[in-house]
Formats: sequence, C-alpha cells, structure tokens
Amino acid sequence: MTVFGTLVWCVVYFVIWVPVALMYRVIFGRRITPHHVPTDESVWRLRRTKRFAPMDRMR
Amino acid sequence: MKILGLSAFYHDSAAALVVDGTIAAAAQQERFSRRKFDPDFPESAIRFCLDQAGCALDDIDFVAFHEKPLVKFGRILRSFTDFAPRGFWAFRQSVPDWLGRKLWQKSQIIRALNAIDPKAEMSGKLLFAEHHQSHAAAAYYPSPFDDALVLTLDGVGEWASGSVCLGQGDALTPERELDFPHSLGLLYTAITQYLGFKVLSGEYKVMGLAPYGTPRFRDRMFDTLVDLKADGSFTLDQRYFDYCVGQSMIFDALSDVFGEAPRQGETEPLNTFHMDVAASLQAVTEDIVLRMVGHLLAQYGQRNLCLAGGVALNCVANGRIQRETGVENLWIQPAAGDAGCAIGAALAAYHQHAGRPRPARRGRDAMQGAYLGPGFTTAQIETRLKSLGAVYETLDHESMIARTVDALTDEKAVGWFQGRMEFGPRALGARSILADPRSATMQRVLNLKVKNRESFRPFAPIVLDEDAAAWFDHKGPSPYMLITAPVHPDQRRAVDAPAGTDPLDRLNQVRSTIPAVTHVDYSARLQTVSRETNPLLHALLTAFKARTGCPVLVNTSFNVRGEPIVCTPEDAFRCFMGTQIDMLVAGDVVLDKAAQDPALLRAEKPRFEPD
Repeated sequence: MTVFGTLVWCVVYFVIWVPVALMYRVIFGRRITPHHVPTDESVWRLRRTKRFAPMDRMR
Repeated sequence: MKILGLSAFYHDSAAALVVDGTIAAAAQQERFSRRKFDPDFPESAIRFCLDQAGCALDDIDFVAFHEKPLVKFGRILRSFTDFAPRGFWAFRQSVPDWLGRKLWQKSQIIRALNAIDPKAEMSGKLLFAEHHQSHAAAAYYPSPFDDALVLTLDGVGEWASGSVCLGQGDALTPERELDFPHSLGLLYTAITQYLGFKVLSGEYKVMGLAPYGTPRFRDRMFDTLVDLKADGSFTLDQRYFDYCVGQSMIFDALSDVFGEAPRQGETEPLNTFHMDVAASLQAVTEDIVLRMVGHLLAQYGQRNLCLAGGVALNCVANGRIQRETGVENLWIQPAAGDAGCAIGAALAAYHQHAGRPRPARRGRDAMQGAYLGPGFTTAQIETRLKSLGAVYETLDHESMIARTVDALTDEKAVGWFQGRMEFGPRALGARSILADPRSATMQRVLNLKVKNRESFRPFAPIVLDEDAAAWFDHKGPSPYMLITAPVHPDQRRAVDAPAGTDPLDRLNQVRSTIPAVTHVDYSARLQTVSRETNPLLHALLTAFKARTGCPVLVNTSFNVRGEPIVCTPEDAFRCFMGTQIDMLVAGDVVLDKAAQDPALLRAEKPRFEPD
C-alpha cells in the first residue's frame, strides 16, 4: 500500500464515494443500521418466492 | 452426469466431484498445499477429484461455485454506503481487491480450470449457487432423510448469515433467512478475537475453553450485544462490533460489556476472566440455537433436522439440540464449514439446476463416512516410505492390529494412516493419532509433546458403536464427531487430587475411567465407529477392548499445531519424525520411532506457524 495509492484512494473515497453514499442513503434509506433499534418483532426475512436464484447467473 | 463443486477465495477452499448424484471425491486444498485454511483456487484438489473418478475436465457437465460473487460485492458496497463516512481503510483494502480480481471470478475460474486442461471448454458450464443454498444442499441431499427441516448458520454468505429450508424428496425450498450483520458466526468470531485467538481458526479453542468458566456474563451479553426474539431470530448491536467496515471484528466498547480490555494474543496468559467470557459466549450461542430450533420444529411440524454452516461445528450446541429440542432425527454435514459448500454446490446443481432425482438412501447417509479424499495401497505406501529412507516392517492385517494394540496398551501415541482421507475438519480414523484413554498422563503428553498445542484443549474419544451407550450418556450414532455427550455416570470417578493454582490444571485431574478424553465438565466429543463405515478401525477398537475391556480410544488429528491434517504417506512420515509419536501404522506398514535413522529425526523441525 503506497502513500501515493492511499492518497488517490482518499480522494476516491472522501470526494466521490462518501457524497454518493450519503445521497443514496437519503433517497433509499439504510439496510444496515449502525445503531441499535430494539424491537420485539422477528427478524427472519421470508423468501416469498420460495425459490433460489437461477444458478446460471452470478447474481 | 458429472458435476464439479468448488469452494474458494475466502478460506478453506475445496473441490468435490458428484457423479450421477453420488459423491465420488472431495478434498480441501490445504491438504495438498500444506497451508492451513488455504483460500486459493483448489487446483490440486480438483486434479485429485478428476483422478479419483478417472475422468478429464472436459468430461465434466457443470462446474458449480459455492456463492454468487456479484451479490456478495453488492453487500460489501452497501455496507460502505450505510456506514459512510466511516470505513476508509477497509474500503481502501477491499474495493481494489474486488475491482481488480474478485469481481471477475467467472473468467478467473475458467482460466484456472484451463490451466489444468487447456483444451477443456468450460465457459458454458459454470454455475453459481447461493452460499446458503450450498450449505443447505450439503446438509439435506446427503442426509438419510426423505424430508427434513434444514437450518444453516455461519458468518455470512452473500447477505444471509443463516437460512431455513425445507427438504422434501428431491426439492429443497428456501423459507427464510437471517441477514448480515446479524450473525451467530460473526458473534462467535468477534468474541474469539476479543479472547486473543485467531479469527477463523480459534473458535474451536473458545469452545474447548468454555467448560473451565462460569457464564456470568450471559445476561449482560443479552442486555447489550444480542437482542434475542421469541422465535430465536436475533439482532446484534453494531455499536460493539466493527466487522461491517472495520479492519477488526470489535470496538473498544466491547471491553465495557465485559469490564476488561481484550486479551493481547497468545502471549497473555489465560485466566478465569477469559474462561468466564468463553463460557458466557457458549451459553449465549446455545440459548440462541436452542430457541431457534425449538421454534422452527414446532412451526414446521418437522422432526427431522439437518444442520450445516460453521456454527454447526459447535458440537456442544449440537448435543443440546439432540437432547433438549425434541428433534427425533438429527443429521449434521461433517464438512459443515465452507469446504462442505463444494459438495453442496455440486449437489444443488445436480438436483436443482439439472433436476435429477436423489439416489436411493437405504436409511444411510451419502457421505461414506466422510472418507472421500486420497487413499494409498500398502504397496504405494512402501514405495513412498522407502524413498524417504524410512525403516519399516510390513505385516499381515491381524499382526498389524495386534502390534498396534501392543503399542497403545504401552501408552504409546500411534499415527494411524489408513484408507481414504477424511473430508472436513475432523480426523475420523483415517488420518488420526490414537492413544490409550485410560492413561492419566496421556492428555498432557499428547497436547504438549506430540501436538505442540495449548494444554487446556481436550481430546475426543472414538468408541465402538455397540458400546457407546455404556460409556457415554448418548443414544444413536455419532459417526462424525459433531456431538458432545457426557461420560456415562458409571464411568465417572470422584476427583482424586486438588487442581493446583492454575485453573487449566483441572484437565489433568482424573475424573473418569477414561481421563484422557473426559473434559472438566465430564463432556466428550464423541465419534462412534461402526463396522459398516470403518471396518478396520472397528477391528482395532474390538481388539483393544478384548485386551483391556475398554472399547474407547483417544482420536486426534494427525498433524501438529498449525499444520493441515496429513494427506500423503510423506506428510505422515514427516509429522511422525517431527513429533514424539512413537509408532506409525500406514496400511499394513508399521514404523517404530526407535528404529528410524537419527539423522532423519534431527532433520524434522517445526515448519508450521501456530494457529
């Protein structure tokens, strides 16, 4: 990890990534919450389609 | 139809070959590369699988990878989004690696396969299973059940850290998932790091340490770290953990929960505080798993349960599931960690992608005792040992067993190298070190002089299937050493001596007729041996019982600390010469340490970093 490389990634992260991420979060909200939200509700996510994704795709 | 399953690029990479629905071969790359938990592409393991099945890469119909890399990358990016502006150093480390290498795994895998066979056309054959689909398939399809509830729990796959599926005949249906960052595997790993052990290798040490302590932090952990719901699902408070976008697993805030700073690695001695934290973590893990399993069994009306994922290697929790949840039949994938995903991905491709039916089960599982790795004939062993300058004797079968029993009753440690190597983390009597469990000093001798590992770690027993109930408080088979059971009350003895000042010395107190395999809480990680799955080991145990009245032996993996379990006769000979193992029995070939060339003894120095 060179100093120059780190500086470049600093720019990429703080100048590009962070503003985009903050904007994304304002529009779409968070999926992972860094703070704790106490609730009594189950946190299982139901697989409504009851199917796995097709195996011939990487996603 | 031939399907190659692959698990790679994270830790413990492996390959498995499924031929017409039957697992023909499976092996972890670490056994060939001699690098523990080797995450690299499993080229050597693939070559072995192809050789074992006598086929070429071009004969393979599909290659199934154990996870979906794009979804996983999406989760990583989403973590950086949700935690920004925190996370620069992890971003700096992770994103270039993904952009430069991991994102192109499809072409990377095809290139690596073409390095094995340049003429093989692989591009249209590559499939990607979901990570927990791979775990669930590895748990359900090889099981002996026609229908079952399937629970998988690990660190994290793409998004899921746990999943529930229903297996019915050839179908495996995903029902629900628990998502990152709420993960039982990551909780265990984070506290493992807090206790100063290495991440991804120290978890089983924490499990072994837990019985020394009292779970006095259990309630506090539930008050702060873990929010456990009525149905066994849970969330983890991320103010205490740094694994989402950090370079460590934990924040300093975790110290406030327990009241002390994290242990500074192996150099800091273990004390009762660390034991209590380990006991509390184990208690929390068991509480979560028991509540989860109990609720799921009731909800789905199932009495058959299959388990996989790294958490399923927690044999203490497994034992409690079997005894306390009302489950009638429990089957756990012996390679429950990520290596087993190679089998799972291949089976998912065979049954779900190709739509082929399961082979007939006849009441037995399809793992073949987990003996799926390389094997060597006595003639091959002789040739290889001769080239190393070993001094050996080749006996007939009965004499070999008699000589081994002689050595065991003389309290010698015996390297036992027989048949095909095990797949998964446990040595199950193919690449094992065996010893007499009745010896009061054997535990200490094996830990410190043979295995070079921590003195507090217990050893596991193997017992004849038919005698298990008389020696352990356990019913039914436990062929894969994945369940802990108490030593039978009839075999227990009153503790005869004070423990001394070091709490870890309690392990050396005699508390049963088989002290070398009895943990401080009278528990033992049990492997039952049947004539059907391992006739040779069964014969050895029978002969040992005939001589001593005891149908139990100590069974520990044939390696030293930090070394992968031995794979070849050469590995076995090096380990034999580099440790205080007294005798090596490989096939019908017997080697006595005293007869070996002393120059070879001196040549074998420790070559592995402690784990």
